[in-house]
Amino acid sequence: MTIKRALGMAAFASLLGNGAQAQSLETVAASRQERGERSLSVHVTFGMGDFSMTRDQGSALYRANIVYDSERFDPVLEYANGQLQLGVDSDGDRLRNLKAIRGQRVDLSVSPRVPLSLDFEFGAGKADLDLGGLALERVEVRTGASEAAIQFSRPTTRPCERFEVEMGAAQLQVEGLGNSNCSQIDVRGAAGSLVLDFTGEWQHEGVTEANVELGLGDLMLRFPSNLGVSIEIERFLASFDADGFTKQGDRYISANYEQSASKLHIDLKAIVGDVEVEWIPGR
Amino acid sequence: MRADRKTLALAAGMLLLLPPPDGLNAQQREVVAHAVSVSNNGARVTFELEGGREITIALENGSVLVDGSTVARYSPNSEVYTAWHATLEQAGRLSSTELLAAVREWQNLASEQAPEVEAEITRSLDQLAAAEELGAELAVRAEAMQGSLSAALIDQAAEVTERLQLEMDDLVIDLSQINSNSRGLAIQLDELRGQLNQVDKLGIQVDNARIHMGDLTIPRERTIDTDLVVLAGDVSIFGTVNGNVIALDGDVLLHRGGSVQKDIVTVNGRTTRAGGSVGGRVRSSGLELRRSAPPPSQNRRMVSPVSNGTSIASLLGMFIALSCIGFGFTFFAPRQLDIVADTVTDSFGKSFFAGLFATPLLLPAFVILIVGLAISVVGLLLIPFAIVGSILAVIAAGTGGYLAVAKSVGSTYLTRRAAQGHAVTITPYRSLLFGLAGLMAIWIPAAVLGWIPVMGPALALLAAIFTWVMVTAGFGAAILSRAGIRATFVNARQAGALTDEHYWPIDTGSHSIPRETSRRVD
Repeated sequence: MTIKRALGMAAFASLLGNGAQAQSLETVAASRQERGERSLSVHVTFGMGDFSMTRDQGSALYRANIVYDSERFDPVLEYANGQLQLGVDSDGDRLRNLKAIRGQRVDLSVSPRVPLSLDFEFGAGKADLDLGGLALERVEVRTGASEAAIQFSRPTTRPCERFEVEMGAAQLQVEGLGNSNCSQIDVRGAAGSLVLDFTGEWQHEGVTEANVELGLGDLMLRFPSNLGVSIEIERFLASFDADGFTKQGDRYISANYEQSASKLHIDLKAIVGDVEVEWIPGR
Repeated sequence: MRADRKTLALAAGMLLLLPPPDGLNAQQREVVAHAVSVSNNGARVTFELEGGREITIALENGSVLVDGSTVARYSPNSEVYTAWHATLEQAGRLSSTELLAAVREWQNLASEQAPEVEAEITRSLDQLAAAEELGAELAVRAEAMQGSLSAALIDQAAEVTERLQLEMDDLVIDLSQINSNSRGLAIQLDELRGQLNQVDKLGIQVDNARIHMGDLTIPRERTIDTDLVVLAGDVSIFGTVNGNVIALDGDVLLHRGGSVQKDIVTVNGRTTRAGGSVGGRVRSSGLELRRSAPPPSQNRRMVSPVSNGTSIASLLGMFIALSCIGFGFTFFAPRQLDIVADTVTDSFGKSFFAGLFATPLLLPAFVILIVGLAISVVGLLLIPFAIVGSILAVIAAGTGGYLAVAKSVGSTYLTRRAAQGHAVTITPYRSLLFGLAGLMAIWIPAAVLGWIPVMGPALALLAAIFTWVMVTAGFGAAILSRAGIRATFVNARQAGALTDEHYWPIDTGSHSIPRETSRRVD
């Protein structure tokens, strides 16, 4: 019997025992020691609740803790061949009663030493991710009607191929993108409030490409003053605060663009809303 | 309490099989992973040792289970159980080594609670050690039997090949897996026979396949042009399989970018889609001991918010288009639009039912019209015009009716705002825009939250029903008022008197309530 099967059986047994309760919070947890894994791919699917992620301070490949409403959800916590899947899952029948779900959460920490690929799907709830210091290679986040904060509190340790976020009607704040070391940054949002903070230690020399699309809502762009930025913008009913930029053809170019070792080019599309720019000195 | 002590002694004895947390006993195997489940009914922990061996200890529903077997009972109110529960509750924050240390602390507590625990532990250890020796002996025998088992495996594979009409040239069996799986190989082969019968029942036509035993990863750059059968292992697909994928006693994990052109079939396993595409169907068979999560991409895949943005843009476009049409109606047929709007306002129920009953009569009426025209030579020539005209009339009635409803809603809203003392400019155009925005606003939640399972379609259905009711009422009002000519269903009290349009004749442009009279009084 494998660990994942044991977990599944435990969840099944617990469901049988608690099906009649209104909201029964139960816990599953798992941890695995790091043993020379070459990579770790993490797939998170979490529809309702709070999610947090950070780097592991010890020697674990990952540690995960899921608190879930066993009446309506099943935990998903499986590891095999460098692939970690976790979150909660439910069939449609058990979600008919859409009353408030409180206390459901997933906490995850992963090794900062193993090359990491992240694939997150969040529904309604809060997500708080600190990806700083991780060996990120690729990040994909799809978030729905949620409040999400993604932070790169310190520089990542590997070149990151891509950072991609898609959000529905959400409030999303991404801080310290300069620490992400990603060569491609894509953020698409349907509606909501979006803050993209590009401060941090820019390790990627040359031009970092970013595509930002926002249908309806406000976008705040924060740049460090030493970063060369060019923005190509398409907008319909959106305002754009061009403070610190000069317009050259179709592009808005920052004054230090040519001199900067690290450059950022943003292809920006905004339909309705405000696009504001803030320059952070000395970062 | 005595039962508890015996129980805990057994469990504690089991724990002693595990290595010490600090690696004091180097020859013993290391704990590499753990999994914990804590519920109201109990708590269980599974430790995975180096080499793959697992030990599961559970205190659930009053029973102590070791590797799934009940060894004794316990009282849920006992201190030892409470401590066990608390120990495992913190497992999410602990590494496996730390958890093992915490469990050993619990073991000490269990020992203190039971004077005879030491003897029980010793007895348990003896039994378990014996079991270990027996296991080791079996493993040695299995090694010795490897040759014959390999032959048995090949015989079984040949049988499988014959049954599935495989071509021997494409048969790939990883015999290196036999060493690690030798102990259960004979059992597995028996199971496989049964599972293959189930595949037959599923009606899978396998013409040409590669067979692999054990875990398999198809890398991104690799393409398999045949069917793929994976026995007793999980298959991770990053690349492309141009045929069916059949997993027996294993899972199929389809990654982003991975592709299976035909069906995916699992027997005693499941398919998980973390992206990727499947050309055929995803099916499963066999007894599922675990609760399998539905594939994320199949049932829970979120639609890209970009498509939500597209929906919002479509909604905005529809609003603009209807506004333009509404402006046309307001400009060219203001009186008719007013009468239809007033008909809806004063006789909403009648209008709705008129529209409801008239809708199914449209086709018969259309047929009668065409037949009537066809019986005369002149009429025959008019049929093409009648067809186009009828369709346009129905569209105009439906659209105009909906716009009239919008105007009615907008007018009501603005009039109420004015009555509350706000400085409000009321014009027919403004009323139409406000009403249209109000009616179409119900689509915004559906457009924005359409990706949410269950709720998204429910919101879209709600918006569709609401819009259908409004269109039907408007259509009915257009019929009752004879396209805005007859004000029969307009309340006499209001006709020509109280609606905003009559209060401020539309041909004089916009009007506003004087500020002195419209200032809000707080």
